[in-house]
Amino acid sequence: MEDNKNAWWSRQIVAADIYDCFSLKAASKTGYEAVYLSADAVAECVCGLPDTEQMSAEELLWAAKRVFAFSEVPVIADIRIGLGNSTESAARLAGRMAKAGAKAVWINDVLSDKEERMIKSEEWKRRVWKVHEAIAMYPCILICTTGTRTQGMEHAMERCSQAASCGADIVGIEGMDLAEEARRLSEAVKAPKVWTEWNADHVTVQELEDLGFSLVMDCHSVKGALEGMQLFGERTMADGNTVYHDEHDYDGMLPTRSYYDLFEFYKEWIPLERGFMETAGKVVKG
Amino acid sequence: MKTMILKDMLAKEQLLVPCIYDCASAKMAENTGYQAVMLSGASISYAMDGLPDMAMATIDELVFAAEHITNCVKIPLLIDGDDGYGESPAVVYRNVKRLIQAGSQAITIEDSTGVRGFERRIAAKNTPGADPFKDSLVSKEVWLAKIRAGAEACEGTDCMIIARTNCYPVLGLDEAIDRCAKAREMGAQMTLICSGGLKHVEDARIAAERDKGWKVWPDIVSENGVPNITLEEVEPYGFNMVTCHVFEKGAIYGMMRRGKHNREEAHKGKCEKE
Repeated sequence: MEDNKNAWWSRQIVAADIYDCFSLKAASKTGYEAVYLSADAVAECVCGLPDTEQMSAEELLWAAKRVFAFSEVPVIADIRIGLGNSTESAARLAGRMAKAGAKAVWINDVLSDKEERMIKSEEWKRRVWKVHEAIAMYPCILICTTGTRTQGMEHAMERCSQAASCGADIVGIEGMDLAEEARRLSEAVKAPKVWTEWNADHVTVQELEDLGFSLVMDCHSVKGALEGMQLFGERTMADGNTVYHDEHDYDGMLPTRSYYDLFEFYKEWIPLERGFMETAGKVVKG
Repeated sequence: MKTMILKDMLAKEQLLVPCIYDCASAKMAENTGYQAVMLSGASISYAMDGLPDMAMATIDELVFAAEHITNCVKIPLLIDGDDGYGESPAVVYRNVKRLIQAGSQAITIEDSTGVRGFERRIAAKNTPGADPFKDSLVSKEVWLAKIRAGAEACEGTDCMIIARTNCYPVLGLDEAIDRCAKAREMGAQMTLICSGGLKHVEDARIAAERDKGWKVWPDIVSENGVPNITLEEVEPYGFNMVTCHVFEKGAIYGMMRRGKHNREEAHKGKCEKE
């Protein structure tokens, strides 16, 4: 089961954030070879919550299981600190994500974004190890990132080293935006690395690859979806009809004007249904 | 957070109601000025499940979505309740109760069977010579019993049943109008003729002659830049609600636009910031 667990990131991957099957389809159609199910985005868009601290593990799993079942590209499950305070609950959630089809589980050490509270170092190491154990039987890798950059790069880099020594396949520091920081991390930590929020104006993905960043997270879907919905919603409200929507050609990005043509479900599901009926018809006729 | 009452709003004015599928689309509808939203069964299948609109979504998925949406917007939520998610009127009664508990203020119940869904029409359109995949229907009696079950489940609440018939392709407009009129006797407070039964304003006039009361115009659309109706011309015939689909395509367009830009800029070290 573990044979090919590393194949999909054997070269650098830029992964888009997603939160449902629309965002998944948009990302794969745009050319992304992997995606990450963003806990923040699921909380905001699916659950209508201001942050992940109010979201339950079951709510995240609800979205995750459906996305995993639909996806044709590897999906990374971002579970933050585990959506619970205990290491055991984090490990259980990670294991359930891996069992459901996540190709990677991504955890961090941030107890509260608002209060910038992190779990203690000893607990961090234990949590990484427990999560590593929980997913070990599945074709799933472990990504561990730290939110301790505000406490200094030395401290954050130490957290990365701890995670790598406890079973993390990929490590990273959240909130980095300078090439110099990328170089420091690269020199200090030899394990494969992740660049968590690719919004840097000064770092190319090639530079990041040269510095050992196997994964680059590109977070754009929520803002993109909101922008597009605002545009279409406002125009339809102002016009009192759907002409703008119906005539819009996706700026040429797609050969269709219908969103459902993007999926072409009928090509798979209608023949499947028809096949069942035809088989039954033959038996009835004898 | 006090939610507005849909029935009060409809008594005052016609509403253009967009279909939505999650909290983000509901919130954006509210922010862009819409006064109510409709949870689309097709869009739930596509967005939440990655599945076709072929009756694959479940009542639990509707309840999940409805609960979360009504917790984050204060405009009323209507629900595309398909066939009531059950063959028996008793099951429909329970399911309507659950959707009301989740915060819904209107639920459509249609006369389709489990062999239903927009995917069949997409297939017919894209497959030359294919079967028409006509909507299959339950008997008029069974449908009306479901409407009665839904109406009783709504008693004492702000929620109402919208009787939706898909019978037009099989039985014609006269039968569709007759079904709607009888559904009102069962307690439905609005009616909806789908599946191509209403195309132009003349159809609105014909429907209004025998089906008196509030009606929904199903999904205003356009062809070659010309809308099939205007909101103003159907309103006098009792169509005080007109639905539309715009947020699905808007979201996909917006995400692809940003994603494409970022991919093009990936090796230049620039991207649009979140």
